[in-house]
Amino acid sequence: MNRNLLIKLTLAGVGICLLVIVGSFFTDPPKMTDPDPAQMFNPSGNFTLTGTSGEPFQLQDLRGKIVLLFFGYTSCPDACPSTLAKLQRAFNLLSEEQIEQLRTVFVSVDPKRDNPKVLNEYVEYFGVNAIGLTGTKAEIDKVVKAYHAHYMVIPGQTSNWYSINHTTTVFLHDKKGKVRYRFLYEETPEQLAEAIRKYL
Amino acid sequence: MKLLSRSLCFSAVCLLLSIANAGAQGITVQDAWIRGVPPSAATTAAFMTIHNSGPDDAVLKSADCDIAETVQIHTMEQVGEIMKMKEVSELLIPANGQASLAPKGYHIMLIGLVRPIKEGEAIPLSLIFTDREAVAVDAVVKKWGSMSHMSHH
Repeated sequence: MNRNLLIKLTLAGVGICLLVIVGSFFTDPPKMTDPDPAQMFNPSGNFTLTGTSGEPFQLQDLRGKIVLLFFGYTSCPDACPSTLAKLQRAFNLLSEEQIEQLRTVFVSVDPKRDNPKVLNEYVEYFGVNAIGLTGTKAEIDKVVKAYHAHYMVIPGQTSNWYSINHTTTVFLHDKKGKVRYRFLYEETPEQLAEAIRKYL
Repeated sequence: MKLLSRSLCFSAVCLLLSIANAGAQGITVQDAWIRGVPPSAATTAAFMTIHNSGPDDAVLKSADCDIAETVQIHTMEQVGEIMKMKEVSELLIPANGQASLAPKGYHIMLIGLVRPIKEGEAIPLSLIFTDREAVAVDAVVKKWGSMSHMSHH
């Protein structure tokens, strides 16, 4: 009798456990609290690539400046110029003194076409205190990975053209090189200007 | 008799021309602009709003532009934090409706620019439809886009 009760209790226990486990599939997973962005994105606060005059560039060279970093390519028909246009509009909301404390860093994910000369012309044309960076594919991939960004080359129908799908997020670094804010593509210049003011 | 056949022929030609015109009629293009790019750039994009006031849908199938080796219609799709671009074979402009070619959406991609473009310059484009005459458009080169585009952001 006692033995039967023990078996029944064990079965009931197993049943409850199974119910809890199965039930957990149907309820929302526990919400992850936002990790500290400074630890998530490029935690070293540095990387080395090649600048627009062909010289080595280190992110830490920009300590003391607010850095707005994003990935792209100069043949990008829409996303990159739209991002640059948005940065320009955000800059228009700031004073000259505030703009002086900002640097835009454009990391090319297209080392095949974007040599330092092409990059230099591109960033000079669009202004926004931009620096264009390139490197070998391996060097660029390392930086892309550090920011949990992505890109993929999409071959075109013509030999002279291919496009690249890429992360459009702008990473705002504070003056110590920590990523403090991720400016998403749908956000407005006003939101970016507000975030910049916070870290000036 | 000869005169009659000539006048009939003339009427037929007139009729055909008027049908072709009627086909092109109803399409108007507003606020056409091309993204300004630096001289070494090989590509850029054209944006505009195409209105169709006619009773039939219009289908844009391609465009011609003297300053580009290849012209394609593209659309953009933001997936998570990644922007994806793809070519489309046609773009529908519904009857009594419009299609907007604007940043973050459809655009006419100009690939292989044969010469640098200057801000403020008007560049002729020809919009080619499947079912009606081509429509000529002058698109103005603008570095930061059109004012209507700016107001959306």
